[in-house]
Order: sequence, then C-alpha cells, then structure tokens
Amino acid sequence: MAITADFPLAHRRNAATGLDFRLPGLTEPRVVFGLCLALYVVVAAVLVFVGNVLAGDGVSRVAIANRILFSRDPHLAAIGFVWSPLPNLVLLPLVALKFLWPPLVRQAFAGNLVSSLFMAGAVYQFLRFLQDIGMARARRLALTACFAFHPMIVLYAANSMSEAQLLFFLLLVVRHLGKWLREHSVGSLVATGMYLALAYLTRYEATAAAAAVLGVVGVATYFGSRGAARSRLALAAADCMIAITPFAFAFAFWALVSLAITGTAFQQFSSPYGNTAQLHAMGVAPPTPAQELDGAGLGVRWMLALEPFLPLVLVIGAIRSIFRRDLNSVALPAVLAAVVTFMFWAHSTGTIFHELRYFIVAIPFALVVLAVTLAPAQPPYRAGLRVREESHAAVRSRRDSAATSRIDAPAPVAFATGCILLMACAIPSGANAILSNSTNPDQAFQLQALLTRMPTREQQMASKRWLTERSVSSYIDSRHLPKSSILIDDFVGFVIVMTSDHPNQYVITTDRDFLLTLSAPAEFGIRYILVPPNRGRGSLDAINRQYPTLYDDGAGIGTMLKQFPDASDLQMDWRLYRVGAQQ
Amino acid sequence: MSNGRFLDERQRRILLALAGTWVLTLVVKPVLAITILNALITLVYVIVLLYNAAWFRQSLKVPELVQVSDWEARSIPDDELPTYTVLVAAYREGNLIADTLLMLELLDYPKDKLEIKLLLESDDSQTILAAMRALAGSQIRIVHVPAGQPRTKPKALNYGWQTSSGELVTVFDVEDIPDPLQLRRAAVAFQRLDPSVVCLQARLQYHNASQNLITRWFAAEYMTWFSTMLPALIRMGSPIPLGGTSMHVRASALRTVGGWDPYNVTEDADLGIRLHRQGFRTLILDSVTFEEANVDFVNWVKQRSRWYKGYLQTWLVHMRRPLDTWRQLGALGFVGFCVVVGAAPVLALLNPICWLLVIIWFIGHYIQIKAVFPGWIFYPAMLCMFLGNFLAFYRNLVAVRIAGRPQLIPALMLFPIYWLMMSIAAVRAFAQMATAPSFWDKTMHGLDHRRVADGSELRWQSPPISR
Repeated sequence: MAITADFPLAHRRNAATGLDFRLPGLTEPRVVFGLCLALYVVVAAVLVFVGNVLAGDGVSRVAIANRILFSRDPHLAAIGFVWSPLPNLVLLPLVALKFLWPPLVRQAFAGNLVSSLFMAGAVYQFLRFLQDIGMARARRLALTACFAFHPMIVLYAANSMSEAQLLFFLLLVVRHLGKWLREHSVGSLVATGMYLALAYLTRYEATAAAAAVLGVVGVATYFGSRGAARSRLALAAADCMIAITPFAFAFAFWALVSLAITGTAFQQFSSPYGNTAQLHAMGVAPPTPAQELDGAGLGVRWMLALEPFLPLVLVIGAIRSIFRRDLNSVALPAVLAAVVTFMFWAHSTGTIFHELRYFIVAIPFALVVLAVTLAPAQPPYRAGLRVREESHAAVRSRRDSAATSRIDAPAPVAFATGCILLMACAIPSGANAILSNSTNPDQAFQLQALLTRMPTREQQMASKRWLTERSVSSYIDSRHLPKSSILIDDFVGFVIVMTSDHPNQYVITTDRDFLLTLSAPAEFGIRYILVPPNRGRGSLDAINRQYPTLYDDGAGIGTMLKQFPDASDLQMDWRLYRVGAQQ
Repeated sequence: MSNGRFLDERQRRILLALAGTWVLTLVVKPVLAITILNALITLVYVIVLLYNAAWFRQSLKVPELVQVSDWEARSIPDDELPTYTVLVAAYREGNLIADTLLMLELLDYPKDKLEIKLLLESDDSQTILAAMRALAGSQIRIVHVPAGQPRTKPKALNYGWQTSSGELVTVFDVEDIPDPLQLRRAAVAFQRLDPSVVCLQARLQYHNASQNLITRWFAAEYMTWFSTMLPALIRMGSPIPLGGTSMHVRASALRTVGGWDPYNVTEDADLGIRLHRQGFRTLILDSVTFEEANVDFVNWVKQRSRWYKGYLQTWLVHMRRPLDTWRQLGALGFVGFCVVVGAAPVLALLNPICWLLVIIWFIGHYIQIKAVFPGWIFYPAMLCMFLGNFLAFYRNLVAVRIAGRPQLIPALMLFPIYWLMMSIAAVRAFAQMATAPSFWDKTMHGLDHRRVADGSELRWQSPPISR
C-alpha cells in the first residue's frame, strides 16, 4: 500500500470544490423535523389566530425587528441592548416580508414561525444526538417523542419565545461535546465552542452551560491524556481555550457594541428597562431567607410538574454510570444541569420573575440523562496527542466490543421500556402544568379559554390581551397623521407601534432624537402623546419619568383627548394627549 | 510572467483613471468619495472573512496529505527511481554552507540518479570559497550564476535548472534540514499519483521555535499554514502559493510553465499559481523540512516585506488578464487566489488603520467618522472587525492544538503584536514596490542559537507530531 486511505483521489467527488450540491435525502431525522415543524406551525396558528395567545416577550421581539426596519428612523442599533441580540436578528428576514402577509408583524406571527423552526431544529438535534450515541431506533424514536410532544415544548415551539432557540443551541452543544468525547476530533470541540457562543447571544443563561463545558473539557483532557502532569495540564488548558474562546469573543463583542452605542457595557443590569429595573418596578423586593426557601420549594414543584420522574431518572442514571465508570454519562447531562441549577438559583433568590418557562431546560435534561443511561456505554476519552477523528471502523469495532460486556451493553428492553414510559408521564403532567394558574399564571387563562366552550370571566378577559393596544393603533391610523407626530415610549407601547400601518407616525424610544424631542415635544412638531399610567411597568416609561403627572393631569403640556381602558386586566390603560397649553 | 514591472500599461492606465476619478470626487464631494472608499474596503473585508470562514471550516477536517511510509520509501528498488535534480541557491551564506552540504549528503537517494547543484553568484567569492573548501570529494556541483540584474533566487534557479536533466526537480534553502527520505517519498508518490499531480509540497517547520517570542509566533503561524490551512486550500480548489523550499515538481510540467519568473521575489508562490492555471495539481507531501525561523525583528520584517511584495507582484501579474485567470482557475479558485495572494498584503496594510479608527470612534464618537460610515457600511465593518480578529486568533489556537504544541499558546496571547509587525512589513513592502520592485531583500540565516552555540548539533529528527 503506497498511500493510505486518506489519499485524496479516494475523495475525488469533493476534491475540486469541497462542496456537495446534492439534494438532501429523506433521512429519519429530517422526516421527524418536517413533521414537528408542521405540528408546531399548526399549533402556533391556532394560538395566534384562534386564541389570541401572544406571548409578551415574543411579540416585543417582533416589534423590535419591525422598528429596526420600518420605524421613522430605521437603524440596527434600535435592536436595544438589554436582551441578547440573536432572537431579534433572526426575525429580520421574515419581518422584512410583512408586505407579503401583514399578520407576520400585525399578529407577530413571524416570531411564532421562528420559534417553531428552532424547536423542530431542537427535536432534530436531539434525535441526531440519540443516533450518535448508538441508540436503537425504537427507543430513540420513543424518547424523541417524549421530547417533541411534551406540552411545554409544543407550547414554546408555538408561542414565539426564545426558549426554542436556547434549547436548539444547548442541544447542539451537548451533541458536539459528546462527539468530541467519543472521537477526539478538534472539529467537534470547535463546534461546541461556536454553539456555546450562539447560545450566549440567544440567552444569557447559556453562561452556566459554558462553565460546565469548561469543567468537562478540562477534566476529560487532563485525565484522559497520557504524559507528565505538566503536559497534560497544558493540553487541558488548550482544549478549554478552544471551547471557550468563541464564547469569550461573543461576550466581549456584545458588551463592546453595547458600550459603543449606549455608553454602558451591560444594559441588562444598568438600563432603566433592564431586568433589575423591571423587578423593582413590579415591586419585587429582595427576598428574605424564608422567601428564598419558598422560592426554592416552588422551583422544585414546578420542575416536578414538568418532569415528575426527574429524581428517579437521576438516581437510575447515577447508579448506572457508577457501575460503568463512564465519564460521558455525567459530562453531557452536566451541561444542561448547569443551566437548570442556575435558573433554580435565580428563581429562588428572586433575580428573575417567577415563570414556568425558566425551567424548560429540565425537560431535555431528564431525557439526556435517560438517553445516556439506556444507550451502550461510550468509549472512554483518551486524548493523548491524537486529536484527529478516528475512522468509523475503529469506532464501530470498539462499540461492538463494548456491546459484549453486560454493563456496557444497551439497557435491556423491559427496563428501557419502563423508563421511557415513566418519561411519557411528563406529557399529561406537563399539560396540567401549563394549564394551571398556579404553575403558569401568565398564560394559563388564555390557554384554558382556548380549550373551553364556556370561558369564565377571567378566561375571557385574558384572551382580550393586547386588544386595547390594537384599538389604540387603529384609532391613530384612522386619523391619518403626518410623520413624526406622536410621541410614545415603545418599551410599554410596542404593540401599538408594531400594529400600525404607518409606524413612522411615531417618535419612539430608539429614535436618535427621542430624548431631544421628549424634552420639548411641541417644539419638535409632536402633536400627540400616548402614555400609560405611572405605576408598575408604566413607571419605567420614559415619558412618565420625564413628566410624572402627565397621565393624571397633562403635566401642563397637553390636554387629554381620549382614554383607552385595558380590556384584559393584564396590560395597561392608555391615554392620548393633545400637545398644547392646557388652559 | 512579469517583466520586472508591477503593472503593465493597461493596468497602469486603469489604475490612474480610477485614482484620478476618486481624487476628483474627493475635491468635489469629499464625504461621498470617502464613503465609496469605505464601502469598497468593507466589501473586500467581507469577502475575505467569508472565504476565511469556509477555509477554516475545511481546515478542521482530516488533512489530505500524501503519505508514503518509511518502509515504502526504502523498499522501492533504486533502478525504478527517476533521476532527481536538487537545486540549492545561496548568496552570502559562507557561514552555513558546510552545514548545508552535510544535510545534502544525508539525502537517501542513489548517487547515480541524483544531481545536486549549488547555485552561487559568481561574484560572491566568500561563499564560493567556503563551498569549495567543504565540497572536496563530494558529488555536488557548483554552478556559477552570472552576476547581473535581477539578482534573485528565481534567476539562479532558472540558470541552474536549464542545464540539468532530472525528471523530478526540487529546491532547498541553505539552512534547510530536510527529512532524508523526502526525495524517495516524493518519487514513490509521483509514481502512484495521477499524472495531473505535478507538484508535491513538503511540510515546513521550524527547528528553533522556542528560541524567542518571534520564533514562537512564526512557528505557530507556519504550523497553521502548512498543517491545516494549505491542505484545506487545496480541498477548496484554490491555487496554493508554494513554499520556497521542499517543493517537488515534475520537470516536464516545470518546462510547460517556463520555469520560474526571475523578476518575482516570491517565485514560489507565483509558480504555484502558474501550475494551477495550466490545470496541474499540487498536493501536500507528509514529510517535514525543518527551517530556521527568523529570530531577529529587523530580519523578520525584511523577509516578510519581501513576501508581501512578491505576493502583490504575483497577484498583479496574474491580474493583467483577469478574465483568463478567472477562466483557468474557476470562480472559487479565482476568489481564493485573490484572497490568499492579493488581499494578504493589502489587509496587513489596512488593518492598523482600521484598528485606529475603531479606537478613535470608541473614544470620541466623532461626527466626521459617523458621516463616512453609514449603517450599511458600519454594521458589516463592525462584524468583520470582530469576527475577523476572532478567526485570525482562533485558527492559530486550533492549529497549535492539532499539532500537539500547547506550549505555544502563551505566545499566541500576544499575537496582536505580531500582527503589528506584519503591518510594518506591509508598509515597507508597498514603499519598495514603488522604488525597487525586484530587489531581493536578503534574509540572514544561521542566527538560531543551536547553530551559534555548536555548529554540528543539527540533525534531522522526526517531527514532534503524531497524527
């Protein structure tokens, strides 16, 4: 043999360009992806067009994308720097198409399409992960179904929130980290790092996952490689750097862009609209130790509502990985466990609002633990100096030899079936959780209203959410005002601007002349001001901060023209003031 | 081939016309002129970034190196081996020549099929004397290259090669320490490979990587280039700029393309492009030649500015008929050629200016800068700035890890200083382009400490990499 199997002529198909232009075939994961996407889009359409179930944060992202493209001062910096940028950026192409189908923006349906896409992508990645770890077809499809049909997953696929994107990137991280642990390919480590960075740009809680990845990679390389302690330490440091550098750059990038445009690096803490300010405005005081304990108890109950058998699965997984002495089966769940733990801590200490969605990562966490438990044992990590991919034959032969040992073999059918059935129990339990006021106070009434013929008063009210804003918007549109004639802070009033046919009537917070205009509305041609009451979230409204009594008495700069009482009890009342002397 | 000038008449006219129009615009509408310039520069950066991202992705795959085992290389009968010409050009290298001859003697190849030519400038009496003293009893021939302009390595190579008979040709530098089996490996590989493969580039590494910070940077850069980036470039269908040494080529193909361009100061890079344009293929041979990394700042800048000048020269020469080049290289190959050869020196020149702009912008938010960076330029430029710097750092980090040399990572942390050195070299290259286009800025060799300490210590060793 003159030239080894890696010789280029053997790969001639791609040698010329490195690109492969064949159409994708119908593989199992692609079919699953397509089916899930269809399901999620249908559910999304029912939520939005039948039930008027619009999630606040999701709608506000569409509003942001809309103002980047269509406000009177369109510019990318209008993206805002309080939240991560990626969920807004991915909306831009769809929002740009609103002229084709107005509901994309008017009902914020673009957001639902994007979340459906990402959640179907998350299901795809989960299935690919199960394939990667060598799980047989029946059980991998069953586990995938436990994930894809979990009511919480279906809801967050359909409701336009960024949870879907977070899960998508986290599962990519898990998958590629697993690949790296098995095959020692630097490419997989690079991919792990890149997806961590994207996860960070999606949601800040990915920071916890980054910390876990760092630990896993360091430990795996240090204990898995040969040689003197010093050189193993150097290799471990190198691998950690490869895994974390993209994340570090993403972190620095976002902080510096924020610094360049707004003057502060971390708006989520310092902005008047940031998480800290919102908590304060809603009267959420720092909890006492007793309240923290209550918060922790609530967190545990909510997690158990989403995954009732999570503790049992953890015990089974722990026992099996002790017998297998398998680092892999700890390493991969650790990435998701870190996020769950972080959210649990933030929830208990009152750093975030109490919402069920913050525990959504518990679902893939439980499933990944079960998956590595039921799958054949993964080969131990041996880094050494070998960092390139192993041939498939080598991996397969090791897998075959692993299968001969009882503890390393896949779990027996009866045991696996039992475990999967336990996981399937999460589906009714999760359905109960999202429909119950105690676990899902934000959305439960709206969802209940969708499922019942005779809605209660509360349910009726809830399903009228955002209707006030829409009526404000259409009222304003009907007056055919010139450009730049209404002043509004679109932090609270984003739906009003988003629903308008002529968003350039509004002078909004991200317009570069907003502060100037706010200081003297009449001089800058403002004819009307829209303002919510100066309490709760409304106290963060820039107009209320400048003119605290405007809502109540016109603050000497305007006369009230019209009042729009909120129909749902969930949103704000609005008042329209005509600018001009009161007397 | 070039005729000693960077631009031909047509290029000169087009360039003058463009420059004239731009200056005129600058006088009439300065903001517009600068905005247009910014847009063009940003476009270049975007293309380079996209290409580099794809290139990096490719480089993570298992490199397709041509491998010939020791056993295979040794077991081929001598009478089946082709005749081989080894060219070694030297100029003012009297201090090294004895070492060089030692290395050449170690090459494992049948004496009757090997022709080694030491190409010396006929007026370089110091080197000639040193060589004659060391040569006694050896089969290496000295070729006296007539003095005269251009005094370049490619002129010497052409001169030496025209009178040689080897079916395969290779070039070594004076300070090289090639794998002794390299010629046999190349010969075996050429026999097995498709005839369209006419050139095999051996991997170059530095034997004095740990000497100082500059050699560490340089070693990390070379590792990235030869171990991961070049194989990936081949896979992407781009022509590759060859290294100046240890490239093995079929004499017939060399004849087809007409040898080396005597006026080009990176004749190696130019040869790689010309071979590719003729439809020939180049692959990487898994055999290492150790070279001496430049240890001295001034020396390094001189060498790098010669490379930049040569790259620029190569790019301009092949852009005299851009459509022909496009047709011969294909769209992807053409883009690759422009990014790898043309953009490298230009971006090295522009990078510090961009950094400076960013810093000024952060400090002052000057309205003047804002005026010439409208959103549609600002955002792509900002993204290029971050992703470009990220990629430039990250791919070295990954390459160093792949090579199993994590001890180079601390040096990588200071890599921006190395980028600054590149920029200094680029400024020098552009200045020389105008004043002395074919001037060969001699790189001093023999400064590595092992040689300085003890001239006889050098031996070829297996590279410290295992794949």
